[in-house]
Amino acid sequence: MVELFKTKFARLKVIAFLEGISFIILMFVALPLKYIWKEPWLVSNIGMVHGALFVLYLLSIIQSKIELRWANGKTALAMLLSIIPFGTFYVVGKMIPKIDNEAKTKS
Amino acid sequence: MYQTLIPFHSIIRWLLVAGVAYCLLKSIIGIATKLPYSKLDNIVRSATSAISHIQLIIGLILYSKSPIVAYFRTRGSGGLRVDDFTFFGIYHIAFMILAILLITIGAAKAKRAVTDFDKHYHTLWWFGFAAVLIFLAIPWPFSPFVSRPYLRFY
Repeated sequence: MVELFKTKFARLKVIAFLEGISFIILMFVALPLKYIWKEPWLVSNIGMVHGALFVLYLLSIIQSKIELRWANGKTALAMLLSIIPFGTFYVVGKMIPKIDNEAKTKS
Repeated sequence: MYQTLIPFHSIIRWLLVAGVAYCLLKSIIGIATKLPYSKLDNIVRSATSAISHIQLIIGLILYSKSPIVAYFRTRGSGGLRVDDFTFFGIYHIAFMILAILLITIGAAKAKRAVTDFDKHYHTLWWFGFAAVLIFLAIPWPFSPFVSRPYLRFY
């Protein structure tokens, strides 16, 4: 667990994963609760957590772009995927490991 | 939640101010005397960037819970005159997010730079502008905009 947070990629992965989870809970649990069953308590809590994670995710992407020399297109794609449900799971699964290997072979 | 996070926001502010001040001073000395970029500089720089992100998360949670911000929202536009409500409703959050963006970019650029001079140079400019924004937007006791004590425990 401690090892997980030592590398930049792992931190980005954890943030991206949590961002995706909070977005899905917001979209598919909290919002229906609010607008169908008139129960707004979950939206106010998850909304806050998701907002904070979203900002943190964008900052981490910018950081990775500079440190790992991502192309602009790749950076834009990673940012856009964060506003699509399940999008950041694609970033975790498909984009970050590739970058990890690239970074290893480069250095 | 609000009451417990305020002291953390206040204490972590000092860590962040110390980190930014160290990076800035070291980069000025480094450029002036051609000092190599040390291992400690590396650690402090990345720690400052990480601390700023933690401070941002706490700040955003506080923003969503703050009674001052809640009142600012219901009051509607009362002009941009700086009082407690516009300060915490707009200026504090906008300046700080911009400053953290500058710190994040600067730290990453300094990490990526190859020569020691470039590392100092990136740190100086990006952290320098961030420091100005942070200095303006912290509610110091001597601030002309909004004042709060140096340390808040409630």
